[in-house]
Amino acid sequence: MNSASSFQQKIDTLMLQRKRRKLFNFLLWSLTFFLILKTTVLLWGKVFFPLSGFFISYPVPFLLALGLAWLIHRLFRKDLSTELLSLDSRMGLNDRISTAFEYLTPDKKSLLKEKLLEDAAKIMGGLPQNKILPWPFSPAYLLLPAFLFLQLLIPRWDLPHPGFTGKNEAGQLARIGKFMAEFTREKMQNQDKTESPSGGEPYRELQALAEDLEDQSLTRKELVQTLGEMKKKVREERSRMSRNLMNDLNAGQASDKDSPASQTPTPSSPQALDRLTEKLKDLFEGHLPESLTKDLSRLRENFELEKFLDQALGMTFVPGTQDNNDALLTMEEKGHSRGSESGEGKNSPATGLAEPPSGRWDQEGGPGDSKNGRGKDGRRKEEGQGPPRPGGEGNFTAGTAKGSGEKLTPSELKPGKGSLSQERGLPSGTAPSPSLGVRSQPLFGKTEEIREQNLKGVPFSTRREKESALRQEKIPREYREVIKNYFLSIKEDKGIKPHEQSR
Amino acid sequence: MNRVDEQVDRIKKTLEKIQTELSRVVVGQEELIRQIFICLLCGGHALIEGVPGLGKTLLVKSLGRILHLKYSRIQFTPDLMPADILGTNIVNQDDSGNRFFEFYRGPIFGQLILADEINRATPKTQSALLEAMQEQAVTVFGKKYILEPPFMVLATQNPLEMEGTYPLPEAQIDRFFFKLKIDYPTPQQLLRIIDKTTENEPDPLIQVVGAEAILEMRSLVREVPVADHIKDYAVKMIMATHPGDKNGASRVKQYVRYGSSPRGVQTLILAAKVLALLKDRFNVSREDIREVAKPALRHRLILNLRGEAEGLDPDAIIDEIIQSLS
Repeated sequence: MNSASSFQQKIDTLMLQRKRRKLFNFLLWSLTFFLILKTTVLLWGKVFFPLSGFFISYPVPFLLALGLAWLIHRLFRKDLSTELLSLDSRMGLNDRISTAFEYLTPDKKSLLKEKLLEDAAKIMGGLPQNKILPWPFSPAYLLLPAFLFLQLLIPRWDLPHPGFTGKNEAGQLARIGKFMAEFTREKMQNQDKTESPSGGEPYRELQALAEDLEDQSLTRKELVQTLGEMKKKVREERSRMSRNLMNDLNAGQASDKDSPASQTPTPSSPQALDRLTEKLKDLFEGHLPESLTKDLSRLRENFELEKFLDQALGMTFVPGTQDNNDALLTMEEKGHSRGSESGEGKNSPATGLAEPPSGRWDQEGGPGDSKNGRGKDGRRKEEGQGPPRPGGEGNFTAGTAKGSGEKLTPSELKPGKGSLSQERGLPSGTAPSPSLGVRSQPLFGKTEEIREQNLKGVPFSTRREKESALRQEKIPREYREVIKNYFLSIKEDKGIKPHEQSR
Repeated sequence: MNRVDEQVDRIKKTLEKIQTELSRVVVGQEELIRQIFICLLCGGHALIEGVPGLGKTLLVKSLGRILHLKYSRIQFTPDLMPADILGTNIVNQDDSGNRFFEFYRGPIFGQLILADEINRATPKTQSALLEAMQEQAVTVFGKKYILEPPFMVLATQNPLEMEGTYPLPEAQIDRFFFKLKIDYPTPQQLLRIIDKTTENEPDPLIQVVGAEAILEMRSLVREVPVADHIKDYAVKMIMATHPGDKNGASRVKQYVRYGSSPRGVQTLILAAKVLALLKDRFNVSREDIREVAKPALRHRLILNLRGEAEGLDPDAIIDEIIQSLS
């Protein structure tokens, strides 16, 4: 074997090892980039919103990782001459190997070529393989385990949202405070001009709250709780006003089907209030009594206030922080229940967002949301249990208890305490998973069974969505009376008087 | 051992013989001898610079005796004329009484020329060497005379003495392959100098290598492989000596008026080739280029007024250039 072929053989071996090394590096970087991208997707899901779907989780990161690894490979690739040059420098070979490699081609001629190749082959033969092609440090060696660790850690780790960290939270509260201050300033000015029927008490409370927020003397939790209490009070106030209004309208005409009260629904929304106002204007031929106008105005103001409180509460929620928002929602509910405990028992709505009952107002008060928490069934109302539960605490058995007698559209199902259930298998002290309680009351047939379903593990967003959908579901206005009268006529045909049916 | 091996071996042995033989009359200066030998094998000329009394002339004179070459010495003085170097036509008469011009060859028609104290002659006379040094030929009265190879000029000059001297023109300086510096001897060397020069007369020097062997070695030197990246390195080094080069060292920009000519890169590569053979290698390395950079480039860097005024040593600039390239 002459010196040229001997050196050529050494170079061939080196090239083969380089190819293997390149392939290894390509796979290493591909895996590293895949893990980085996967971790990014996971983090995105934690911080913003989850990117679900198999395609997003695997094929897209995989292809991107391959592309990035190929890019790295192209950007940092070194040809063999460069590597031999670095070998010469590294091992102090005085450019022997790189020069010999260059003179391996037949077009380079020299008397000393043979001697040069022989010398280079001899030197390469004497070098250990790890010296000829050492394993250089690659950032992938650090990135790979780091992102592998993150990949395993992130699903078990609830990342705090930046919105919850000190300075951001303070800024958020300050913004809410400013928002409140602007609202109250406007309302107070209007009050000065028009002499608001509410007396301005809630606005003064809001103003004080805004000042507290500006002074940063109020935490987010306290704010949510206070707003929840205020919202509850506003609702109670509206219930009271609505009841009074209906009492006024029904005065002396309780049994008269054609009385204004019997023909007008209790306003459960500003739109409903507008419709009621229109209807009353028709009934009174465009000249509403002053007292009635005042009542309606107070109701409208009440709706506006509740809307504002909803907006303020909405501002306290930080998107993407499901668990924290759930916690705050609980606190808002706590605010409601505190209001309930102080005012009308324990029949607070399950979510704090349910609409008050509407329909034909019972003179004795609507069940579950009646005056002082009492419905027709005085005992149950005192207990604040809402609808009848003959089967015991938290159980409802079809046909074994009297119906409430209310004629409700599905959207107007009254709020009530949901069935109590214990999530089995949870260790003591573990917070229950988010759930959604769905209650349904049949409108047709004889059964009065109220069905309840407690959906476990429902995310907060889904819960909000469902509640919103339930709130918005309406029976078209023009069909309501027809449907109601149809069922009333059925009852009357069977000898049951309408007022008895309400039992 | 094949012929190539023999030739490579002969180069090393010749240098060893020269060094051994010269050491009998010259104390120390091994590196200087090696560099002169490199010049010889590359077909270049050397300008040896040193203060008086360091043995410049003795070294060259001794070299002339060791090498089996025609040795000539030209003592440069201010009244020396070009014809005194090149030779001249004189009127002669043959037996029949016819007169004719006959060319009397000057001392330049040797193989190893000692141009002693070259800066003492006027530039006009100094210029007489230009053609000889570059083309190994002289032209007198329109007739060209080829000088016998191997032709080598070893010039000496004194850097201190300025009175009555004429600095070499740039074109002349550039024709020197190396500019070599003689360092002052160490105390131990001085003691040996005392012993060698004040006691017994040394034995006569013997000739170690002839013209034919030198020419063979010269042809072998040109066969040493040089990789492209080494050539690139040499080119970068030469470019870095120019103040206009964007990658030039800061001192170059500050103190250099004009950088090396293309002869500089030829010198770097050729000298590095000899150095590689002397180091038992068959290829030129960047280290070889760096090693020959100072003698090859120091006289090719033309300093500006500021550099001259500050007495800047071109070697320091070359060091910075090497540093900037590594």
